[in-house]
Parts: sequence; C-alpha cells; structure tokens
Amino acid sequence: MELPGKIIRFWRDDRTGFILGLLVVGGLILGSVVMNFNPKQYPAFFPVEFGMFFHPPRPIHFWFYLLLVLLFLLGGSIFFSTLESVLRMVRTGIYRARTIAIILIHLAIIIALAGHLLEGMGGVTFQSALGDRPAPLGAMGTAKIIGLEELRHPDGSLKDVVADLSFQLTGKGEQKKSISYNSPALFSWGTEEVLILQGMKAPQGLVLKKVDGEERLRLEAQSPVNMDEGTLELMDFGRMSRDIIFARLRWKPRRGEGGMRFVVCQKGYQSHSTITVGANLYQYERLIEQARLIVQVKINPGIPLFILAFLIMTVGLVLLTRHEVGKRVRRLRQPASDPESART
Amino acid sequence: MNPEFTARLFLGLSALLAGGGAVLFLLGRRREASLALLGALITAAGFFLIRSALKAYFPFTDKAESFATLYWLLIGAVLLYRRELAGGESFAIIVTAIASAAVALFLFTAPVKYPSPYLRTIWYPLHVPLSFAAYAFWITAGIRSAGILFRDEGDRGLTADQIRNGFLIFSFAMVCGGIWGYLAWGAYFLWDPKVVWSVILWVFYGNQLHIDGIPSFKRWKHPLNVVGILLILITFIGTGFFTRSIHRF
Repeated sequence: MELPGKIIRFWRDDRTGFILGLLVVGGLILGSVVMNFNPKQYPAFFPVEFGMFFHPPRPIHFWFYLLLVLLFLLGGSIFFSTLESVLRMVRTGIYRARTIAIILIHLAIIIALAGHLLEGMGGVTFQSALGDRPAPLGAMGTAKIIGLEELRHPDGSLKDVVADLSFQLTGKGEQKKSISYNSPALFSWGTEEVLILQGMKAPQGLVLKKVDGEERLRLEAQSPVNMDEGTLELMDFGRMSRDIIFARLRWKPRRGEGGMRFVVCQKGYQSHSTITVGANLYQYERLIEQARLIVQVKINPGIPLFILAFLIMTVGLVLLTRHEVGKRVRRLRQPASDPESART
Repeated sequence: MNPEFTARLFLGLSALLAGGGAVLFLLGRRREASLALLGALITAAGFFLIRSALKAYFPFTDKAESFATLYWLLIGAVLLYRRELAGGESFAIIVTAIASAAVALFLFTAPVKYPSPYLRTIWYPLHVPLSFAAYAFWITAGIRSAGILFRDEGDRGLTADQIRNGFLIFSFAMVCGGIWGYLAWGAYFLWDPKVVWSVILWVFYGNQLHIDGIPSFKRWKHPLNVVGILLILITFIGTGFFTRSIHRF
C-alpha cells in the first residue's frame, strides 16, 4: 500500500502538475506543427473523434498518443490536488470564496477532460445534403427541407440562411425545426446536433419569355425543348463575379449550325439576358430554384459533461472575479504609503 | 469625407496621443501621460463606432479591427497599471500598442465588409474582445518581467496580478468561444491552429498561476512570462498568417 500512496503523493505534487502542464503545452505545439506540415493526413475541419487516430494507428499520430497520456496524467494530478484541497477545507472548516472558486475551476477542467474523452470515443460527425425529399441523417433518421430563405446584405453578400426542416427521428416521429447559421437544431439534450454548413436556392432551370409575344420556354437540365426550328437544351449554370448566375444553353437547329447561348439570369442586364433562338428573341424571366442545404450532423455523448463543466467553470470564474475586483478596489482606496510605488 | 478614411483618422490621432503619453511616461509626467492615454482611448472609439455603423455589426470582424482592438486594450492595461509600472515599461507597452495600431492603419486597408454569417452571434463579440483583453494583460506582464530581468529587481506581485486577471478574462473568452464553436461548427474544440494555440495559451498561463507557490520553480517565472509574449504572437498573428487555420487573416 505504500507504493500507491507514494505514487499519488508524487502525482498530486505541485511540481509534478506544473511540469505536466508544460509538457502538455509542448505536446500541443508539437501536434500543431505536425498537423500544419501534413495537410493530407490532417485536412481542414477533421473531427475530434478518435477514429481518425486509431483506425488505423499511424506513426505520424505519435504526438496525439503522447498528448493522450499527458492529459490523462495532468487530469489525474489536478484531480488529486483538488481532492486534497476539498478535504483540507472540510477538515479545517474554513470556507473561503477564493478557495471554493479555485476548486470549482479545477473541477470544471476535470469534467471537461472527461467530456473530451467521451466525445473522442463515442462521437460521430458527418455531413448530409438535404433537399425537398427526405435525406438520411445516419442513425438519427431523415430530414427534408420544407422552406428556405436567403437573407442578404445591401451589397448582396450572404447575411444568413433560414431553413425550415422536417425531421423524421428514429423512435421519436416527426419534428419540425428551423435552423440558421449559429442556430442549429438540437435533440436529446444537445447531444445530437444538425447545423448549416451551406444553404442556397440552387438553380434547376429557367424560364425564357419571347420578346415580342407571350410564349414561354421552361428549360430544365437534361430536358431539351423541341421547337419548330430546332432544339434548345439547358447544359448547366455558372457563376460570375458578384454572385451573378448565368445559364449555358445549346441551340441545335434542324438546319444549319447551332451553338452555345449564354443567358445572364438577373433582371437589369438587358443585352446579356436576351438570346436569339432561330428567328426569335427570348429574354430571361425567372429562375426555377430548388432549396439545397449541406448540413453537419454531430452526435456527441460528452455534451452533458460539457454543459456541467461550463456551468461550474462560469460560477468559479464569477466568484474569483468578484474576489479580484474587490481586492483591487480595496487597494485603490488605500493611500499610496510606499514611496517605491510613486515611481518617477 | 469618406467614412472609412475618417475612421482611420480617428485611430491615427489616437495613436499620436498614445505616443505623446509614452514620451510623458518616460519623462516621469505620470498624470499628464495618463490624461493623454485617456484621450487616446476616447479618440479611438471613433474608429470603432464608424466601422460598426458601416457594417451594421460589432467592430471586431476583420484584420484591421483585430489589431485596433489589441491596441486599445494595451493602452487600457497601461492606464490600469499606471501607478505600478515603471516609466520604461509603460513606454514599451505603449510602443507595442502603437505598432498594433500601425498595422491596422497601414497594412490592412481593405474596404469595410459585412460580416460572414458565422460571425453573427452574440458569442463572437463576447469572445474576441475578451481574448484580446487577456493578451493585453499577458503582454503587459511579459514586458514587465523583461524589465525586471533587465534591472534585476523585485516584482511586488504585479505580474502575478496581471497573469491572473488575464487568465480569468481568457477563461471567460474560452467559455464564450466554446459555446460559439458548438453552435457554429458543432464542436467546442477543433484541431484548428487558432483553437489549438488558444488552448496552449490557456494551459501555459494556467500553469503560470501556480509558479509562485513552487519555490524551486519560482526563478523561472519571469523568463516564462517573457516566453508567453512569443506564444501570444504566434496565437494572434502566426496562426493568422502562416497556417491553414479557418481564422486565417
């Protein structure tokens, strides 16, 4: 029993904790450098789940394996020293706000580390493309768009996307929720989250109106329109600067040579949104759009621990801030009696 | 007059006032120096107000405003500790602040733009200024530690005070940033350089809080405080220019 006691005494020692803290800093710096110089192994936004590091394990992830060990040791050091502080406080019966605040902050760190571990081991992250038909959201169920609105700034840049979604959740039936940037759909106490990565009304087709008549042509991809003089087909859409959409059309006359036609799909571009088809002029009238949403689905079993950690941390920080502010105010009220403090 | 130019004029005037304050601190004219710095803070508010009006949002969303915010908070830190800092230390911190303002004025001159949808949440304008306030406290502590090492004299607890205040504020910033990350990206932590280096700073300075209680390590306090300035520069500037961070400048 003496060896475990010695190990715990060593583990909770302030010097051990300090060195472990510096080692964790070193491990994170090392990891940051390795990740930055190996973009193929570490693409942008790769999730924090452990799968990437352990399926399969790779030598290049050595910094992560080292960090796991160091964080476990640091967490243990914080745990034992916090426990010692709590026991001392209970034994002496002296409950100071500053001490309680510091204990709470350390407790929050331990809980947050546990939450990270749970997230790493049990978390899932994936993306899904949603449209007006139900699309799968993994084990959660399905979702489809029932409404989408793009909000724009006066200069045309994107301000927000608000999407109304219908979820069919496994074992829970249908739920309707609205999501926008920074406002995800949350389920199961926040452990399941669906958030917007990108949302837009994607052009599916366009309507052209004859300039000197009422005839309209509805053009959609892979649906050529047969006309008296030939066939007009929508090939695809493109974007120019300032987010101006244009349509690329192919005109195949029954006689003679056809060619490509480009139509700017925005009112106010008279000459660029009017095309010649055979002997007639047609002008852009409107786009046929379909709502499209790229969402990220995040399942994180560590969320309850993180909510707890955030709450405890906040309480601890508020208590400590009150203490520090009070100390500063008291110091300011004292006369400057120390001549060294009146520096020249 | 063009509003963007007017905003820069305010910042430029503010930096001039701060420069005057720096010289006055060196000359030992503390009271006048403090008034000059107060004037600098008030004048700089014009920069933030105009840019905020132009983008119809909080003025912390682009590179120029980031550096201007750091400038403003460094000046604030000098004012807060004006009685305790030596004249040379105040001068050094103000010069650092003016350098930050100069970057905002001359390096980042792109027109004001509306913020991206990801920035449109209350957690963002809470997270950013709190982070910069912490940087200001820690840079102040680092410069003071450099002065102490140079002059080989005592500290009387000032740097510990600055480190602690910085840590408190940065912890609030981390909480706000974590909530923002959860709502925006589904994750309070990402293996993104800016996020990783923020954790580096938080663990580093959390560690520094304990050093006064470890006699055998106490002699490393001031050298580590100076090293902290380098870590802050890497976090604030390095990750913005030399990495693939989503927070890239």
